[in-house]
Amino acid sequence: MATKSKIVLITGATAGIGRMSALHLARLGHHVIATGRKVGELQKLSAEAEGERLKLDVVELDVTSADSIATAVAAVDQLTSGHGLDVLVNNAGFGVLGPTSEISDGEMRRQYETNVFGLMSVTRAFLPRMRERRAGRIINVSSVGGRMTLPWFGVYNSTKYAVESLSDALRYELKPFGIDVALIEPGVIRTNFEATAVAQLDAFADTPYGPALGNYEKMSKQADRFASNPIVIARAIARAVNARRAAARYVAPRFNRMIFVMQAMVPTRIWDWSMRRIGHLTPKHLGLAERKEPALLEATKAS
Amino acid sequence: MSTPSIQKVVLITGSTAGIGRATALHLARLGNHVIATGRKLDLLEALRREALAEGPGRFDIALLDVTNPASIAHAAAEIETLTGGHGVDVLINNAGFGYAGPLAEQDDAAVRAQFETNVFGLMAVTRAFLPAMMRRRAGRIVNVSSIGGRVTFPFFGAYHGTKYAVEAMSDALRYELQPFGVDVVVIEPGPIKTNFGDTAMTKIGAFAGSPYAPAIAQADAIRQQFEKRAAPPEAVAKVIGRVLAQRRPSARYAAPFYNGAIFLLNRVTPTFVWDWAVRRLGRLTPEHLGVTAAPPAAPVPTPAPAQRATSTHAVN
Repeated sequence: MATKSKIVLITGATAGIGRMSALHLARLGHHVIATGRKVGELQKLSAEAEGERLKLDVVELDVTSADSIATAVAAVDQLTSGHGLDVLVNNAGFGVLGPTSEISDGEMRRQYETNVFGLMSVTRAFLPRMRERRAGRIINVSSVGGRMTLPWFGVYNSTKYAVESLSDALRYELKPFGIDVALIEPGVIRTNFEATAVAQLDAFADTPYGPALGNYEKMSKQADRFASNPIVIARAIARAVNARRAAARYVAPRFNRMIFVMQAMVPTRIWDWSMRRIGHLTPKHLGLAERKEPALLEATKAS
Repeated sequence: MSTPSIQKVVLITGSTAGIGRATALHLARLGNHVIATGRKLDLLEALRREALAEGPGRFDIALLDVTNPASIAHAAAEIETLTGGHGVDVLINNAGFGYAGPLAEQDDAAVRAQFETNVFGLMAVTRAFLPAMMRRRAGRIVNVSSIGGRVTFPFFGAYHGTKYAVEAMSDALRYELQPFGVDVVVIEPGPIKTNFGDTAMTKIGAFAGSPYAPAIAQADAIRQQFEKRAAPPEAVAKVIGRVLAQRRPSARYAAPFYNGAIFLLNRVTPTFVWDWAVRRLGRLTPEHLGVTAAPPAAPVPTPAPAQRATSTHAVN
């Protein structure tokens, strides 16, 4: 391989995009440190890499635990003889689906712990070595949903919007120290994401959204037909790792960029209307009486 | 003056100062029943005196700390009584703040504190006052975000993170509450003359020993650059007043409106140019930071085709 071998750590590498990327980068000749919470899964990954004679180490890392992060930093220092990382891929993340106003405070915070606060904690932990060397790269796996919001995905989208902004600020602020910050924005990908998200929908059966939930699974299956293989994302991450100067954002698959163009062009009322159709958020689906104009209604009462 | 719209019950969070206070007074003048809330009782009482001195309208105050579930529950019960079980017609989620500082140097607690008020607090208050609106199939939620909810500037990374989150959450709420007759609107103020700057600077001392020290030393100069363009909080209050009068409000209002130009500028400017410009603005250049440019031990990358291309250029 022509590109220089780099030391790359990936969080959330036990499944989906993270696992695929770990193997892909190792096959390209990088020294990969795959991390995650499930030791069993990490061992399986390690065995698979060993079978291919890849340079891949595994380290246990829970991004929501300060102790776990500190232990992992020490382990990485040892593995790399004090060099630290060339590239950090913040990939760990998940989504809980549901009507935004019905998701409890606890469920909402759980997503922020991993997707936002965890990402920042891991970044703070591995940054000092990069800054000492005046070289390094941070790759944050966001989502197409980091720049557009879907119904039922409000809380998940908000964590990814936050990651987009945090990455912008880090990109400005770390550049003088020779550290690049790039965002990967996957579209609909065939991973555990949907299964994880849909599994919790039953919890909202007793809310005013109950009647629309059944339809959601149908919609989810429809979306699955458009889903891409996670290898597409692994390749995008590899582009971001190998590029001499990383771009600010990598949309993958690339045609998903059309969504942003559409969003910019379509008037909000039409966009909203179609989003409500997608989410089955119509009076009919929700079993509501036809909407009465509230202002008119009050005016009649007042007169 | 247009004819005052039908009197609405309006609850405003963070109304002891700045945009919240100006909005409370403005909406009361327009004939609404305002419930001004905040954490400081003496400031709320002063606000009520000022409002009542101006006219006979109904103006109530209630203690409300958006980060405290007990305080939210208590305020919700109080307002249930105040409105005779009606609840509020309009909820204005205005409470919010930001701490300035280089994001990677800001500690976990400082980042979280901003999300507590700006994101988790906003959602907790929304959940508390929404059920009455959904039952009546009528209501309006106005979330005070920022132009910084769609554009990021250096040294405010965490604050921008919270506001980007509010933008997404508001989008989803807008889709999901429309069938129940509840509108969701985002207000995006630009630089406004408020306490925002003072609060932002309270933790800046923590970075005096960081690699950003030379840029931090010029924080006041950077701040002045922004604040000389600042509008009075009444300008935002007027926009909110118009939003309340609208039968079908838009999804977003930049306030004052000309601040919307920054979104256009952001969209048409190539990222590398935009980044270069904001780094200059934040004094994030190697010269300002006293950073030695050359990376020490990094071996020269040797992709053969790229090198050929370079040498061809040199020959031409």
